[in-house]
Amino acid sequence: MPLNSVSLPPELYLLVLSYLPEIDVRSFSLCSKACRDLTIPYLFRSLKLCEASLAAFQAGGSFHSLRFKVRHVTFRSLGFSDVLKTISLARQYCENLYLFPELIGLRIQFLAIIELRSLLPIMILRMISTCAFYKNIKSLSLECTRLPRSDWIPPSSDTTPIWSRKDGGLITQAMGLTLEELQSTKLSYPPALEHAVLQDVVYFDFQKDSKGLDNPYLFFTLSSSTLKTLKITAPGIALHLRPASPQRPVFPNVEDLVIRLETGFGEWHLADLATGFPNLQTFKIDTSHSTDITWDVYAGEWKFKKLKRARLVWPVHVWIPSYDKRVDLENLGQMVRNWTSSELQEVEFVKRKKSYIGTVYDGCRFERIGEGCWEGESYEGQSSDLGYD
Amino acid sequence: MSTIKLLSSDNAELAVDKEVAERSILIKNMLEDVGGDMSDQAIPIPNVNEAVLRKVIEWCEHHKSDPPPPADEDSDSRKKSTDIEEWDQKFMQVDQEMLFEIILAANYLDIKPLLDVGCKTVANMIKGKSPEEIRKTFNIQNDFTPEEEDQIRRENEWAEE
Repeated sequence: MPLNSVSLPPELYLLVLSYLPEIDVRSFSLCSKACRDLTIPYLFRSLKLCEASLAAFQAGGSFHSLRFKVRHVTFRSLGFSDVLKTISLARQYCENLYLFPELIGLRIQFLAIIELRSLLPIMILRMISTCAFYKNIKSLSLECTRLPRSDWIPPSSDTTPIWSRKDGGLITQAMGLTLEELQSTKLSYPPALEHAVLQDVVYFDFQKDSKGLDNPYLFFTLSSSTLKTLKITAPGIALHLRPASPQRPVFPNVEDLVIRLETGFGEWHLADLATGFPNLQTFKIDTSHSTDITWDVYAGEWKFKKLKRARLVWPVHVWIPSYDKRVDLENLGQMVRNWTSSELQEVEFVKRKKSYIGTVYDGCRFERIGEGCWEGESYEGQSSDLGYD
Repeated sequence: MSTIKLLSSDNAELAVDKEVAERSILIKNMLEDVGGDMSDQAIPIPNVNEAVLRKVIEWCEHHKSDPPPPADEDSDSRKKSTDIEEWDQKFMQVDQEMLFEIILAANYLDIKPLLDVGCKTVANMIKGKSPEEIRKTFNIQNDFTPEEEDQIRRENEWAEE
């Protein structure tokens, strides 16, 4: 190292760098060639795939020998309104992931029309499941941002699933899969998965339900024994959390759960969620439509044994006219006091509100200050990030 | 309390409480290997000079009753904090050469908490600075051409935050 008369061996510089955020590591890497050489393996543990970086890591590229250092890969598949471009980009990146045998984390962001929300993840999972690193994957993020239907697929009253329509053929073709292959794909997530972020990707299993599209089967297909944190944005979860559902999965090791619900759906109860996630420690739920959560959702027996913190949607009670209580600090506090878990420390009810500065939140926060003793306060118009995003 | 003697690279003999010296895992293991009694023989510390050894002993003295450090964390876990307790901050207010010597000695003597404090101190000297400022701080010669620097900036964009 060209530092002063006394210098540190490289492994000690690596220890120094381990205390620094990426931005400082980048600055350090620009100081000299020796600094650059030191930081390279460190910087590219988390790699953003793009055309240029992919070329650098491929055989003959200047970073090829560093591919073993890469532990996390992120790529964006943004064909914008061009559906086929989105697919071909995702396919190209997936085909090259074998370059990184030490991969343990994968984050994929894509823009897609509604049908692709399911088909693209199927293709991606199918492709990466043949890679050697698949069994080591600990964190997986599939984040879809929904596009309005483009002109490419005209709105139609045709209710046949898109993959069996004439124009749908182009989609399967771009994926390099036949309809039969798609249909016979048995969905599975990486077997050692611990952290999952599933944003607006609705999974369905052809074999279970050919109508598929709006039935969120994601709970069925996640490996349930290893998962520790789960963050999902989905149209609905209710159906499959009902006690009546025979296939309702149990996630014994999930401690953190974040759910963001997109649209309205039927009834569900917090108690049902406790059956599926018996060991939750923190739970956050948010919804675009406050009418989704009625007072009724929170009523009933408190079944969470280990829950410490909950951020819940401010309930409405329009669907239960007989319930004459107003939803306010006092009545919510009454409800929280009835929740009988000694672990529970903090409960917040949040009401989403559009304002001229964007989304703001009204709500109230309860904190346990002693045995059976809670303190609550309400607030208005907070614009702070509540951690849902 | 039993005392042991350490012999620095420049042949200075320093008497230290055994308990204090055992903050160094290297010395601790060494004493265990010879069966404890080293009262009349000085342990040679060939990589560390007297000035640095005194500093290291001063640190061990102050931290002699600290609980043992937690087991190694997963290197992939979140960024560690660079917070340093006040006494250690003052302790580390030395010139850069001494700072590096302390880090090297902590590494050699296997005193993990001191090594951490040293590395955090260096990390804080880098934090928030531009490449030019870092070069100045550590007296680093810039051996890049402007084109190479541009290339690196582009490549750095591939690193995910």
